[in-house]
Amino acid sequence: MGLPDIPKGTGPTCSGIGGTRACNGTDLVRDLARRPPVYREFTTPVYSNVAYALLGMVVEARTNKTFDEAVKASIFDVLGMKSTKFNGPPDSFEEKGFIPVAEATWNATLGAFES
Amino acid sequence: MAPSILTTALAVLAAVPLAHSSVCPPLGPVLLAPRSPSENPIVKAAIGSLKATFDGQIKAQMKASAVSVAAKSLHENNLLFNYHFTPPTQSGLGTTNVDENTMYRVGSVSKLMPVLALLLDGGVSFEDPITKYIPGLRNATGSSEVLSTFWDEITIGALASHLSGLATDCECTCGKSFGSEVLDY
Repeated sequence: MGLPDIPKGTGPTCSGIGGTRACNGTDLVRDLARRPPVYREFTTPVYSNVAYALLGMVVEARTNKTFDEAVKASIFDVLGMKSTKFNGPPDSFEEKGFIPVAEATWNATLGAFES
Repeated sequence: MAPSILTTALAVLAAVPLAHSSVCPPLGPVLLAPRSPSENPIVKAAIGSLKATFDGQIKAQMKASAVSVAAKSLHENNLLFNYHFTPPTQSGLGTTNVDENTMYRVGSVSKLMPVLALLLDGGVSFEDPITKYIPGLRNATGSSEVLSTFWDEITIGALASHLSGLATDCECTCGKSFGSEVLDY
């Protein structure tokens, strides 16, 4: 009874959480090939982290830089946001960051999902 | 002189819908933005009231969460409102004193950044299909019409406004988070 067992070898191979490898754009596109959309486009809102990962990839395609390098150059450096960073917290986060109790992902780097 | 008064009145009426479609503003010159709100007695009273409310509510409810709230006028150098709360229960990691220099992980607030970067780019239209920039997505689709993602129909604007129809997450974002063992499969 209940749900069938998940076949071995079909699960995710990345996440960036818990010491696992962070997902890259290739992982994302491969997973999207296996995940049908919830609705056709422009039907109704569906909050989508996946959509913003793709927008991060568009930034990379346009700039030939990694997403974090591109945003640093076009936004953070321009505005003097020296304490703001993608792709892992700044070194000073261990001193100046707020880390709640039982928050195990505070130093995770999410790869394609940083955006 | 009646025609000229009528003309003036019509000109004012014509201008109203342009200013705001649902609010009828008072006649007369448009007021300038306040240049020194921190000196305004009403603003001062509101700041005091807000701080008192935060002191009461946040201290009563936040045992392990920090709070930082700041507000600033474009026309002043100093912060108009600057409030920080250090919770009594802490992790032993990171800061023990939350203030305006405290860093937070902002989570999905970072979704602003790819959109802002694309707006700054200047060469990306929000009407463009995603496949213009990531053509390989055309192959990332299911075997039947029901299971397929119509990537050529999904625009940058659709992605940026949560109207793409794509799922919230995919396997990548769910793998081995929060103690699950999904990655073992």
